[in-house]
This record gives sequence, structure tokens and C-alpha cells, in this order.
Amino acid sequence: MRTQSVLPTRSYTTTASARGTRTGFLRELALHPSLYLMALPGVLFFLIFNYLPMAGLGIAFVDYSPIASFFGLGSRFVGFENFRFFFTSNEWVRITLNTFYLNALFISTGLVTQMLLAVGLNEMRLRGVKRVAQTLMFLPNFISWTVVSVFSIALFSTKEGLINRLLLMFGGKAVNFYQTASVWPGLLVALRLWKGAGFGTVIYLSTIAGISQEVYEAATIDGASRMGRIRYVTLPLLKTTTALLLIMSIGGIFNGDFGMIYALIGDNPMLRSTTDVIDTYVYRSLRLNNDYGMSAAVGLFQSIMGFVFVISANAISKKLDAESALF
Amino acid sequence: MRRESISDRATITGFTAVCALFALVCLLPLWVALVASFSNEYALIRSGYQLWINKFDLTSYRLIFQGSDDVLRAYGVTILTTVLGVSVTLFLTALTAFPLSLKAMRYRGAISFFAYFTMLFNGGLVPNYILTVRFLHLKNNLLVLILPAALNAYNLFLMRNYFQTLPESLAESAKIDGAGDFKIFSSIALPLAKPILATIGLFAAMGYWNEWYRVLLYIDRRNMFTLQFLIMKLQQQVDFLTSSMNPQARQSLGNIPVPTIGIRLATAMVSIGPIVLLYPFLQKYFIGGILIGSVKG
Repeated sequence: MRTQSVLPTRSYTTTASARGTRTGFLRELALHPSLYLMALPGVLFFLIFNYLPMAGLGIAFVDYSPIASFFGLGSRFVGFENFRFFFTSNEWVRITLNTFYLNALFISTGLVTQMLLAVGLNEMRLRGVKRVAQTLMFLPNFISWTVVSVFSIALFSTKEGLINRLLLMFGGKAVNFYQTASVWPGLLVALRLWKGAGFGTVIYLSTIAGISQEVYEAATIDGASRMGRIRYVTLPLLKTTTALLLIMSIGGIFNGDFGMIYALIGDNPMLRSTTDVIDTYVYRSLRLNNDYGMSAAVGLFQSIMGFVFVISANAISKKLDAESALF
Repeated sequence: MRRESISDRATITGFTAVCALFALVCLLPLWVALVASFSNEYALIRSGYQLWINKFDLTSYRLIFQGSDDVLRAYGVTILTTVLGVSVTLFLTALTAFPLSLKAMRYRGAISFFAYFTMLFNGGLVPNYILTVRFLHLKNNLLVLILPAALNAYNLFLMRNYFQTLPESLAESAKIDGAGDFKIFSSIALPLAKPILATIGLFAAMGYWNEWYRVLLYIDRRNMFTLQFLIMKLQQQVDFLTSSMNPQARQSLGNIPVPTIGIRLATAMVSIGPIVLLYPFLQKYFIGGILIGSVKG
């Protein structure tokens, strides 16, 4: 990271710190009032929109009453009762496993497809076709899940849907997608790949572009075919990128994709067994059951697990490659 | 260069075919929905979704624009929140990032960590919900769609790192001419930061344009719905637009029932229109944005 800055360090800053520890916080503010004034709105923003909600997690430990204060003060303190309620229900295993399982599917299929497509785009010779293909692949990334759900009805609807029409045409039987829970992990993976895999190639493409031509030339002289060059040069050199992308995504494995699942499935109880994740569960218990305490407890459980995973992911990626650690 | 062997040609052809096929699959749902939105509802129900327009019919588009105010109003709300949201995002992000890029600010590390920690831990839905509804009183207020998304640590660090790469000499000479920190920020740093402002602005614009989650949580007045949320409503409640349809539009249909599928498709098409039309021209900025983020370090 470069450390140049727009402003040179002011000479009097050094003088001030030379005077020792007496130069406290207020003194620093007085030295650069305009700088701290500029940062103030941002600091207040994080305080209100990020730190206040963290403090509000106290709700997880009370029997929340609507007249109580934000931090749960004034409600009856119940200790870990909300947690006990959640962890003794049958649902916690299901939603935790679903969140894990779906994310693991998304991550693994996503990385493989992105890598394959990036290698493929890189091998393409017809410039025009390549550009059009790239544009078409990237486009779905910018379409919201609500619109995707309109599309998915066009594809999956039982009577009019394109897929069922095709199944019937080839002598198969129509599938009632919106009442069959078992098909949804597969459908979600497909929709996810459709939406994100194309744009996901960007990082791989830039890694491939950074591979020195000399390596390829050397491989060619050694008699490697194109396929050989992909297998023995390109793919091995994509390993670090893949490992980093993998670790970063694992950092988020506890976060269910509410936007995707709610937009595509909504509150459909028939599909819950395979698609209900932590985030949809919390939403439901808050909005439909008004269970503040328990919802907050589940949220806290998720935040803590997320924290542990992100920190570990970052530590591992730092070890792997100091340059490419998250921060 | 030596001639390519047959196996090399096969490799190229194979990969080209795979990529071209994937690209076509990416286009397919969009295409099917587009032609269906211009098709007659009866024909659609009778013969299903097809690859070409089935009995050209503009009824759905006529209804969503003339039959009810919902779509146009949602368009207005979406444009308003996108424009205001992007402006606030850029202003707040740049204003906070600039001092953090300066070595002269002694507590810049502490403030950066204050921001960074928000990426590691969050309060989750419930405290956010209570804060927004009970304490900030932002329920049914368009500010709830604009403010909470205006600043995040990720954008802040992108911006700060960009400011750190600007040459010192420019600011130095401005300082000699008597410019203060605000002046240097607004007339030197900001104009030089146009590329990163464009990147952050574009991604923010996508976010605001596609917003529906906060509408779901915090807005229940129909005249404040965004386009994406309107689509969401139409998905869950097929007769949502029909209920607000004006009598003339209803009469003009005669005794034909309202085309509910068509209305849904037409609304979806209208909502992604600007994205699909503008996207090919903006693609390179989006790609640039992703790469800045990934090499940031």
C-alpha cells in the first residue's frame, strides 16, 4: 500500500508530538479542526447506523416489551432464555444446515464455473463474439432478484413455464416446481450461476491477463498443446486466486442470501424444508410472530459465528499471501 | 508461429462453444420474458411461454402506464431515491475518506478501525429494525431508503486508498497559495478522484435502483414503493395493480379479464429497461471497479 498523501505532514505536528504525552486528544483536535470536522459526519453515521444496533443486541437477553428502551433496559431480564428457546427448537438445526449447505453449493459451483468461463473467454479467438458473449454474461449481475423471480416463473411455472413445456414435448412429466422442495437447492444454484458466474470471471480474467507470455512460450517450445498449456500453466497459476476467493466466501458462509430466497420463494411454507435459512427465519419471527427477543438472539448467534469466520478467513488468507489479505 | 494442430483447434472451438452457450443461456430468460410481455395474454396461457411474440399485444404496457399511477409513481420514487442516494453516498464517502488519507491526522488509524469493525460485526435485523422504526422514526419516510445505505466501510477504504495515491506536490502548492483543508478537498482532491467517484457512484446507483428490502421492512404506503418492490408485490399478489386501476382503463378492456401475467412482465421489463440500455456503455467502469476492490490490499 502506498502511503503518499495529498498533504505533507505538517511541521508543527512533529513539534506537538515532541512535547510528549501532554498533547492529548483536544490538542490534536485544535491542531487540525477542519480535518476532524470533515470526518465527523462519517463517524456519526457509523455510530448511529452500525454501533447503536450492536448495543441494541441487549434485546437478546430480555423479554422485550415495546415500551422498553432501545437497549432492552426496562424489559424483564431473562438471561439466556431466548437462546434456550431457539436451540431447543427443531428449527435451529434445519436453518443452520440449510444456510451452510446452500452457501457451500453456491461457493463451490460458482468458483468452478467462473474459472471455466474465464479460461474459455481467454481462449476465444473471434473478437466480436467474445465481446458480445462477455457483455451478455455480465448483464444478469445487474438485474435484481425480484425481476429474476418474474423470469423464473416464466421458466418454472407448472402450466405455462418453458421448462415444463419442453418436458412435456419430449414425453416427460411436468414438475410442480413451486410445491416440490427437493428441486430448489438445484434451482437456486442454477439461478445463482446464471446471475453471478459471468461477472465473477472478472477477477480470474485479470489474473490470467497478468500471466507472463514467456511462460506460455516456454510451454509451447516444450511441446505443450493448447489444452496442455491450460492444464499445466493457466490452472495452476489460478490456484492462489481461487484459494483467496474461497476463503473470503467462507467468511460469509453464515449469511443466508435473504434477497435471493425471499424474492424467489417468498413465504411459501411448502419449500421451507430446503430453502429456509437463518436470515429468512429471523425475518419471519420478527415480522410475522413479533418475537423480538428470540429473533435478536438468533441474530446475535449469527453475528458471532460470522465474526469468527471472517476473522479466521482473514488470518488464513494473510498466511497464504500477505499481499492479498483482505486488509 | 507454427500452425495450430487439430487438437488445438478443437480446444478453441470447444471453449468458444461453451462460452457462447452460457452467454445465450444468460440472455434466454430475459428474451422469453420480453417477448411474452408483448404477447396476448390468452395466447400466452394457451401455448405457454415461447421464443417469439405470440399475437402482438400492447395491452399490458397500456395498462401499466395509463390504467394506474402505480408504475409511474414507483418510477419517480426510484429515480428520486437513486439520484439523492448516489449524491449523499459520494459526498459522505469522499468527505470522510479525505482526512483519513492524510498523515497529518493523528487519529486516522483509530477512526479507520472504527469503520473497519463494522465489516466484522453487526447487530443484525432486530436492533436495526427497532432503531429505525422506534427511535429514528423513519417508518414510511423516503429517507430510510437513502440514508442507511449511504456510507459503508468498503467504499470508504476504496476512496481513502485512492486519495493516498494522489501526488503531494499539488496540495503543497495550493497550501502555499493559502488554500485551507476544505479548499484542497473540494478543488484539488475531488476533481482528481473522478474515476473512483464514478466507480463507487455506479455501484451505489445499482444498489439504490434495485432496492426493495428496506421497502419491505419500513414502507407500507403504496405511493412510496420503489419499482422493484412493486414487482415483488405483483409477484405475491397478482391483483395488486388491478385494485388501483381506474374505471376508464377497466372499461376499455371490455369484458376481457385484466392480463395479470402480462402486467407483471411489462413492469419487470420497464424496471430493467434503463439498466439494459445503459449497461453496455458502462461495463468497463464496472469491471474497473471490481478490480480496484480486489487489488486494494
